[in-house]
Amino acid sequence: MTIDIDIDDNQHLSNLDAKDIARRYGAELVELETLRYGLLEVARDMHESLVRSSFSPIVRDIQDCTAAIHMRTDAGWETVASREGAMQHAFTAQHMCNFLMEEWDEASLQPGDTIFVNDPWRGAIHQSDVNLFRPIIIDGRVEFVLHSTSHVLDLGGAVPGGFANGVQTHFEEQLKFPPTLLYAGDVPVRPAFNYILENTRVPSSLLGDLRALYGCLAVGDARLRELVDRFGLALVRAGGQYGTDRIEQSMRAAIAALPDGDYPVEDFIDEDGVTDEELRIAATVRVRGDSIEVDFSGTSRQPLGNVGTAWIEGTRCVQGIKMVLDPHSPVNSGTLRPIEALLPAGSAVCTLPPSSVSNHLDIGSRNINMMTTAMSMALPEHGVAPDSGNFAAMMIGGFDDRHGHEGPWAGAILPGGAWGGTYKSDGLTSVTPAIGACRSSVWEHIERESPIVPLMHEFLPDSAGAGFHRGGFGGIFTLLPLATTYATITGDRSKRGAPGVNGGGSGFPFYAWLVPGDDPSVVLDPFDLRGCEPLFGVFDGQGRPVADDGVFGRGARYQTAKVAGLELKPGYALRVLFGGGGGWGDPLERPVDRVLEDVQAGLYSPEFVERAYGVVLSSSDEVDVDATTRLRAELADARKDGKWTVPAACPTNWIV
Amino acid sequence: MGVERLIFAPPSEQFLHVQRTPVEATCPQCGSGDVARYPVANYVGPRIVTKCQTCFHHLSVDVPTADDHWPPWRSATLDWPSSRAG
Repeated sequence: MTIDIDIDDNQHLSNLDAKDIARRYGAELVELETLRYGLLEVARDMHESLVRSSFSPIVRDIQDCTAAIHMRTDAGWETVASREGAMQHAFTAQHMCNFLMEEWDEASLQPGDTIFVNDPWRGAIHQSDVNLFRPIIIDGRVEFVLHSTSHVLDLGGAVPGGFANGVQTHFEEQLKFPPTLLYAGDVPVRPAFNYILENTRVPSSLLGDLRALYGCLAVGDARLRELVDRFGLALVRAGGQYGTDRIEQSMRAAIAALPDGDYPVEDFIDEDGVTDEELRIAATVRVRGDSIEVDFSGTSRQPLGNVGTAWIEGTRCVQGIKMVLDPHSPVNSGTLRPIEALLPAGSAVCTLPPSSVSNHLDIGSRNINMMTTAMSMALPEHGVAPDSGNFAAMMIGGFDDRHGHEGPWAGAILPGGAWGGTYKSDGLTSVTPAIGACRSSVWEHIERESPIVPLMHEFLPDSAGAGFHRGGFGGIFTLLPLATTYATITGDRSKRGAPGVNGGGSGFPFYAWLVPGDDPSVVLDPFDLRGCEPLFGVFDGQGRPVADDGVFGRGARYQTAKVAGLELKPGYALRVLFGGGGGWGDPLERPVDRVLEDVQAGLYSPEFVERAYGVVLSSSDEVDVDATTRLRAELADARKDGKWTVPAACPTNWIV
Repeated sequence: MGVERLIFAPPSEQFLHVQRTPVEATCPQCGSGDVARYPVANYVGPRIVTKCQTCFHHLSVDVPTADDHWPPWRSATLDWPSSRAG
């Protein structure tokens, strides 16, 4: 059966009734809806299979992985369905497939072939995120390409676990694979596997993950063929086309509701891990009718360190736009169609090889924050403050020399972060930033599989940016190694925390210390700094963290929050404090009962709410209303005179 | 095509911009004469667009040729005969 799809019809789907839709797509609406969801179910099955069968905690627990189905269209290869563990993958998958299929000779492909790619200059996020593609050949032609993605714990290179902080070229990062045949007709290509497995520090984990990535494609192959056998290829293709058109319509309708205009935004990365040069990420978001152009002109040149990205920001920016404009619809090709990006070649958002690009987290988080800020400018009543801007991400590993556990090991630790306050609620606490929106680590698994003990993972008081709607709270994470461990810490917003919007205050910045592990009173009290060695952060002359007027790196081991090769000896713990989200709106107008609730919950201290919210407590459960009214009026007047600004979130009760 | 588009020197400018080349054309959608040609990342990948700067109507969307240098890098083997393994 052949179905002619009248896609030249310029009418929006919302203007069509069921008969018009049937005429347009050559199929009944109920069939199209069935197949739209049928494709989503195939992607879901692939993703569930990947999570269930993978070996490494970064896939199994953190779910830094995604599955997608790409379909041949007149425009190229379009994503008709995806199921993500890490949100960003859903936005970057489609370009990768197009780069691959434009380069690979289709005539040479056979059923069961599977191609491996992790090249950032071919659309991968960074080398640690590997991608497997499986063409689905029907009636002699590739009609679909199935795609699985996950972060892997190690692919060789100078720095274990990727995030090669401090290096200047991709040659020093994880191995980079242009499109490489990994399975030929479902038979493993032994040279490719040997090359990969003999150049990683954790071959067992990596082999398990590669087989999981391949296995989920085999699951998708079977499910998709069941769909095609039952409904026919033409109808499945019509369902895919209809599904992407529906999502495009949803995005375009939301964009059309924005006022036409140019919305310039910028944000900064503290430094690049090699120099102390601050990086400016700039974008002008131009809205015209139902389409958007994101022009990154004005962005800093590519950094020497690894904080730039090669290609992905052009579609990753769409994530921030969608978060505000169309948060509920699933992501597919239709999400991307209304938006184009301009990426200045040689800038931090379009670095040229052989630049290093392994830390994509910081620039990606800025990109998302900038887009939500631009949307807030276009829709002031829908403002969203920036998130904590880093995951406090740590890659750890080494050789476990404990009796009975001998062998190499590696793990990923993602304590999380916090989101900014929004126009309608406080920011979320203890979540990973929006770029990934994946899970935090599972500590019981980490303890079972690694020679480390996570001692603390809890909220950090006084870390959320003050606001009418405050940011989410940052956290404390402390780990104790039982064997010599090498850690890579990747973070930013360490010089200053996540900014607030609409009069809100900043969140607490990102800090780390080495802590003597033999004194429980010190190691379990995050405010006790006696005997602790500061690794990075903003400090006063006594070594106390001060978010507003301290000096970055004062007395610290590092002048960067992007650290590699940090040796952790048994007996010393690593403690990180990660900041909260920025606040939304004037904290002097936050209802006092809500301020009191936060104090009673142990989230804010009485000292901080007096400084930032102008709320004076007469006891632990009572607000001094008169004193609060007076103080709020004084602070508001001082702000008018330029003598007061909302203080950045920062605990005050440090012991030094 | 050889290996000349595999390794690049970093740029010397502090901040980078995308150049929009003015095109002598009139937008069929809104009648504006403000039309430009420039490289973009659209929904499927790198493209060269000729686009109205007033209403964003596309006058053309082209797959980049080798001379467009978009993106700047390019596989050294892109034009080579393909084997079973790629």
